[in-house]
Amino acid sequence: MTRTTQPPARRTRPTTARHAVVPAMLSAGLLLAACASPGTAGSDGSGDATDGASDGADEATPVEGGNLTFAITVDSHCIDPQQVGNNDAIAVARQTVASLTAQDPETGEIVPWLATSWESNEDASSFTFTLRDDATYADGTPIDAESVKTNFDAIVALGAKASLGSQYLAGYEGTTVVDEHTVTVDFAAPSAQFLQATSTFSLGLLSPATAQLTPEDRCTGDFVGSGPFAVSSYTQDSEIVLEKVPDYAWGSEANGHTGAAYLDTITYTVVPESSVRTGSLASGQIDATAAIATVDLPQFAGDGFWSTYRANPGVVFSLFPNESSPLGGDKAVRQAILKGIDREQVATTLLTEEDQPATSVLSRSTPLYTDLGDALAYDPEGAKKILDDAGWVEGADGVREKDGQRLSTTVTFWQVPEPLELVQQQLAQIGVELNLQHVTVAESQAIKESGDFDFDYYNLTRSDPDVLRLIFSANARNVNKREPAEVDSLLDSSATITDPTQRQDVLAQAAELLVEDAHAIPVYELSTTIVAADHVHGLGFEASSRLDFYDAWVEGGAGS
Amino acid sequence: MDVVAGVLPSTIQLAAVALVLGVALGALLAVATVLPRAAWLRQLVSTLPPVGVALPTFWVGLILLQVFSFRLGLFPAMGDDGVASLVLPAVTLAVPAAAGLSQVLSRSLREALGEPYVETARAKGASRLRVQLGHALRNAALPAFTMLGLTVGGLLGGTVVTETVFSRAGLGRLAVTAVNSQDIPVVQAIVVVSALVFVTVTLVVDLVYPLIDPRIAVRAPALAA
Repeated sequence: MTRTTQPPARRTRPTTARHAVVPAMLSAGLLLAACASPGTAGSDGSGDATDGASDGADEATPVEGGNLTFAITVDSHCIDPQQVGNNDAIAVARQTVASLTAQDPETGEIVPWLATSWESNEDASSFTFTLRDDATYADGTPIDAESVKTNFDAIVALGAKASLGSQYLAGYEGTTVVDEHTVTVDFAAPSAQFLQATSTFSLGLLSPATAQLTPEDRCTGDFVGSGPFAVSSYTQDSEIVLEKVPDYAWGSEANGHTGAAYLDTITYTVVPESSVRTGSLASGQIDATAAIATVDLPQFAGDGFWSTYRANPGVVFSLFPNESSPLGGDKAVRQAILKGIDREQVATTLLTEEDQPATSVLSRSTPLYTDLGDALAYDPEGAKKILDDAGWVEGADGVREKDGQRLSTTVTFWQVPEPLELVQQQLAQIGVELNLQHVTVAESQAIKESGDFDFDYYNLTRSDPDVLRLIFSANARNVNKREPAEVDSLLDSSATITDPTQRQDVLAQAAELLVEDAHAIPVYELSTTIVAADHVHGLGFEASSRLDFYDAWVEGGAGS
Repeated sequence: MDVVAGVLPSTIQLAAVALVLGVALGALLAVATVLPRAAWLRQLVSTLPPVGVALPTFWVGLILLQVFSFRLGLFPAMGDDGVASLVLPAVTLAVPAAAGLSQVLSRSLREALGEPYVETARAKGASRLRVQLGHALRNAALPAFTMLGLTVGGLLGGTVVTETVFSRAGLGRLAVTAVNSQDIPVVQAIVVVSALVFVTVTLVVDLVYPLIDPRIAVRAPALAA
């Protein structure tokens, strides 16, 4: 068991040149970048604050001014930081709010942002923050203790609309204003994840006036934030323009500077078609994007472009068995599927060079990750043996049978189908028929709620290992719909432990049990790759692999 | 409904430009299939409409983007402000519309040219051009005009693909988003609006018939003698 912290984002500098605008034409392709967050309606873990960091290699002096045009794939019709869950929307929303804390992308450490210091009580159920006294919202209102309380109360009031924030505030008892610059947040039960959660955009602070608006109005960009950029215009399905907040002077330690952002404006254009993003970037119509199809990436390796890559922290892309279904509840079947997947092949044949097969339920860039690679090794013989021993014998068409029932099961998902198509072929070799049910995001949410599925499939981005407890514990979301088991006490106790070493220990045991009983069948790690033209600098990732434009600048400044 | 009303102008603008382009191009092609004296040229031109009908809209759009936007840099690949951003999507939409129209028009043109009144006109010394455009085209226009109603429907359907490829906001894009997010009220609104447009255009086409061909005008029945 080794422990690693987030690997620094890698950046490739072009050497060779190729300029062909390769028509990716019909390949809507492996568009693994945007929108890959968890299933459904962003019900998932996500983000955090902190920032930049990735671009330490930039030796040039930043230039102020100018515009950066960035392509996103979809407009989910909401850019309110406290409500969004889709990666493209997050790329916009993250820039508009500052958070109480930030998270260092290199170390995972929580560092000051709007709060200069904090402390928690023994069992992590009460947190006290001391705020800096000079920060204001974009409308000039001071960021004081009272406004922090307004924000947290408003997020709880948003309920399911604040899909991420309401999870982070689960068990919220209330916020107490101690003095103008000190607040205490109390929870009914231990909530060790809360500190990291305060670094996320979901708990980013909006002006108290915003709390009076309807959720719908906030979605269309009517909110007033606290971050380095503010919404200038928002045209649905077309473009979103952010402009810098000139008075912003409270950048976090996780960033490269603390003053106002370098860029005057960021223009996000919505470009749904993959080959059009590729062509637009190659022809200079956009400056950068995080949504270039894997097959098109090689053409940007050089000749005026650079790219930077980062694995998303959190739960990797996995099959989640519904253990209240007959096959999902069959431990032998689950374990055989876990061993019958060749993760290495999925990563090497379908994904970018830097993408990695899953080595645990958590990705390598998640704080307190522990390597369980051995338990996830490809072992088709072992898988067959488990099935043989359980009485599943090969039928006429190669699919195993037992008591007249075929070993045929279905996975429901909305993400790109290629990785699962390969898994389907791999499982056929051990006599398991995996049917792929590709649905829309909304349908997948409905199916999840109905509970009428064998296997679900998604990932969850969150730069805190608490995401394990959140989704697997029988006392939390219980994605497996299973009875309480030994692993639950480990998961639940992890919420009370603030000491990192102890917490990692407990979480490692929990992850091991989850893999051993195949409550999760990890496949590969989601990653985000930014590709940008050479005149773009400083565009990078924060700790949760969310895009951070605060340190970004463009050569020529106002000229671009 | 507000959402639909918001994107409607953009789609109407695109469809209108595409319609004008499509009609102009379609008429030109149809005339070109009968006008040239050289038989090989007429045949060559008459192979174009079936090709135009067969080409998928998204493919035409992507090819136009590759050539005129990514390589030559003449037009923007995305967005919906300004005339420049309207050119490529409008051409993309106009291609199948023009092809369909010209198929119908050239067929009825050839039929019209075989009618006795054409012989009469020629016998009276009218020029080839005048016979074809002045006499035959007007008589041949009716079926193509009927087609126009269908073409508008096709254009509405085409915006689903075109607006996605060219990253334009509009009714088609909204339909895609609404279906994907299972936003049923919006889908219903789009269906109703599209149906209204379709019915209105068909009605207008029917009402305009008599202007083109006075024989169709409804007259009070003559009293029996």
